[in-house]
Amino acid sequence: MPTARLRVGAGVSRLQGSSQAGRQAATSAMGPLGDEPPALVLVFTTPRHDLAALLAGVRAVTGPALLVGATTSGELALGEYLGFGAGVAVLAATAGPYRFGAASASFVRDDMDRAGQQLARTSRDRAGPSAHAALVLLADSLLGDLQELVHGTYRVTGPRVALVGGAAGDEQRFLRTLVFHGDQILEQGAVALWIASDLPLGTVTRHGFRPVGNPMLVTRAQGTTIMELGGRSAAAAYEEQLGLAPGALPPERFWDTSVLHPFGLRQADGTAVIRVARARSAEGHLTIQGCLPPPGCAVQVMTGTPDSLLAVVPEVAAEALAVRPDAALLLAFSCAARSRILGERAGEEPRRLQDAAGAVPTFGFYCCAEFARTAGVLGTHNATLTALAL
Amino acid sequence: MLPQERTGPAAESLGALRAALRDTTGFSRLLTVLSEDIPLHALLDRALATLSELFASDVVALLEGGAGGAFSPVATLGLPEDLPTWTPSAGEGSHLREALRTRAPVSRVVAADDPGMDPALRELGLQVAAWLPLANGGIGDHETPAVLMLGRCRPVAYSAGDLDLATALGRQVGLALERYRVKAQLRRTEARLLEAEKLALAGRLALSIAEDASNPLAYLRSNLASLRERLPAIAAALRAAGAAGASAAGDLAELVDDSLEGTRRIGRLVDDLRKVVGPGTPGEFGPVDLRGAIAASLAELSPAGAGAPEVRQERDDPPAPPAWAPYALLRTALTELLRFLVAAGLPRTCPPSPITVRDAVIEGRPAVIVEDPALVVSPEEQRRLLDLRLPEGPALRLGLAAAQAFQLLRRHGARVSISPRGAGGWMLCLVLPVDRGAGDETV
Repeated sequence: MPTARLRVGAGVSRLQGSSQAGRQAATSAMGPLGDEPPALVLVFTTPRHDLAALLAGVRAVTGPALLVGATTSGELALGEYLGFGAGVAVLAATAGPYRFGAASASFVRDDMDRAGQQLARTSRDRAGPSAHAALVLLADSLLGDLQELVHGTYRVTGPRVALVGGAAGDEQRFLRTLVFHGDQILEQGAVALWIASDLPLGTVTRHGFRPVGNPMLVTRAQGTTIMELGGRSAAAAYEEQLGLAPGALPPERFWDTSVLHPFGLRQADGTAVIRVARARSAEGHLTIQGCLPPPGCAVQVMTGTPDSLLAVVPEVAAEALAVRPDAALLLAFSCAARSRILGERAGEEPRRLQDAAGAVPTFGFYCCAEFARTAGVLGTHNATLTALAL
Repeated sequence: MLPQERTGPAAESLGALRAALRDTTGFSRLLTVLSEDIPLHALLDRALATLSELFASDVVALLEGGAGGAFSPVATLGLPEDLPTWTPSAGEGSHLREALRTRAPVSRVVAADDPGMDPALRELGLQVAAWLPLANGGIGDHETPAVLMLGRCRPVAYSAGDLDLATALGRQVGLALERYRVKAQLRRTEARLLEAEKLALAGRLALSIAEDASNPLAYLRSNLASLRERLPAIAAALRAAGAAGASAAGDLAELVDDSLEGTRRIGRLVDDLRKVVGPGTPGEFGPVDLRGAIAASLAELSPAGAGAPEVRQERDDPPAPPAWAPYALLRTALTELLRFLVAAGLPRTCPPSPITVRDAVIEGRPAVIVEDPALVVSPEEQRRLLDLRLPEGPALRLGLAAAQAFQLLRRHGARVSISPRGAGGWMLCLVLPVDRGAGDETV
């Protein structure tokens, strides 16, 4: 296993031309590497770019280094927040003490469990054996219940491999999200990056929401949709918890409220895993983004404020860096729902993260479901900030 | 307006309520999973994933005891696929054994110097592990001991409440597994019943064909025999008619002989069919005295011709216990088998060694053993011996009645094996069920 220190560089571009934007961001990212060639390139971008041209522009600068990436709902790099529009963020990294392996697959919706296994297995084999490892998972956010994908990877990795990552975004239009591997742009796909390490790696996750109201039992659910809570229409039960009259949240205004008040799925240690309902149907069904509270479980309406969400940011950085005190990179995956709640203060989250990380560069994107397994098999989150220090 | 979070004295009550809610929803979640009509492996997979989530456990394993006190995983979650096959430590001094002995959950920190700790759990990076014996020491009502194992990579011990609830939920998983196995057994039994009904229907059909064919076949044989008797006169008349007639007369005897042989073979098949499925063949199972059945079959055997071997009944003490079998079917199988042995393989060694038949006990089950020291049966012939299909080419083969009787006995749990004897010749063992439940359908 190589023992050299990891060297990373990050660059961003807001140019409208896709190829030029890719070149510009990649050129900035390559600067800190000096003469050393990159072993890994991460690309997170707005979906509005011509993605093939963008990747070609990046690879024209980085060469044939391993590249993975995704479309996003905003990028974060070195404390900077690139909102919706034309942003692209590129990270270039040497191997340092790590070895990388990647695998990808398209059209995995029909059997995500098997796809997760295959991705983990192939990426692991490409990285080679190691005492410790982390798996960075990126996936189309519209595949369905992404926990199936996570479960599949867990069958291969077991608990010793840290899992982190996020579901791709399309600036919250929920129409088409894509992931990248090399110069491939994958439809309904997922890509896994295996990081082989001699030292332990760990994932950190926080959200900043607190429970309010009464726990409710999920009595009917299918796919990523909750139909009933406590035997009643899910929307009516949800509205009641918020002190609203039935029907007070019509479908067109639902997301504005639900993003502020997601569901919390209570965990054994008293914490809650967040599930955001992003849409309600005329029948009163609620669609959860990317993963479902399983039937039979209890959920509680949560509430969060910009201040409570931002308060967890330094904790995430500090805890992640405590796992790897000599880290040269803090990979972070936040949620588009958080940036929506933060509104005009959205830039504060990446800034606080970078402040807390000090000289360690921060890099990541705003997802439509975050991957982070910290205990048990459940590793899919909403409205959560997750991080991995390398 | 949003309800405010409770503080002060109400918070304690709220905490207790939340614990009760956690327990209740834990049950509701698991029971929801267990009520799904999905394949067993998927059911166990989801159940273990639910337990993993409910108890923040990185590894969950349902372990079942086997021969010699060993345990093996029925289902696991969290074992990486590159982990070598895991055999849980279950020896004396192991925490698994302690949980079984005390019939109480055992929770331990995964320490390097703990001799009772399973080394594989350390390799997985677990820091805390718990072994929960399932109710009655087994899965469901089954006698096989079973244990639910939970493990955490974080140094957070399982609380007493965790262990109690996990034990209760583990028992539900065990009951679901037991129910599934019972259902699977029921489905197999139903399939066998259906098969038996089909056989009975086929038997009735075969019987009607045999009955219908019997009379015309008798006419045909009679007429052919009559024709054969008159053939010399017919042939002489044909030869007298000229060269063409002489040529026809030459083939006539052979044609009639072949036809007669064909009718004889068809006749034997028809007789066999009538013996197996004809009226008076009770299909009901009941206790059968093997020694009596052997004696009755020997008495029915046709007198042996010149050079035929003696068939001798040997009696050991004590006699085999009653077998559970359809008496007539067993009689048919034995009688036809002995008839076959007397007729097959002639000429034998001179003087012919006797064929012996006796009752015995094999692995606690009543059995009939037939030994023929002279007859040599090749492996290929062994395979064909009980084959119901018509033989292709020369081969040893029992009559249809015997072969079908053996097939039916096997279908009802009997084991039939044919093997060479160490001292020469061959031996047939028919091991019978002692009751309806003792069948071994894999034979």
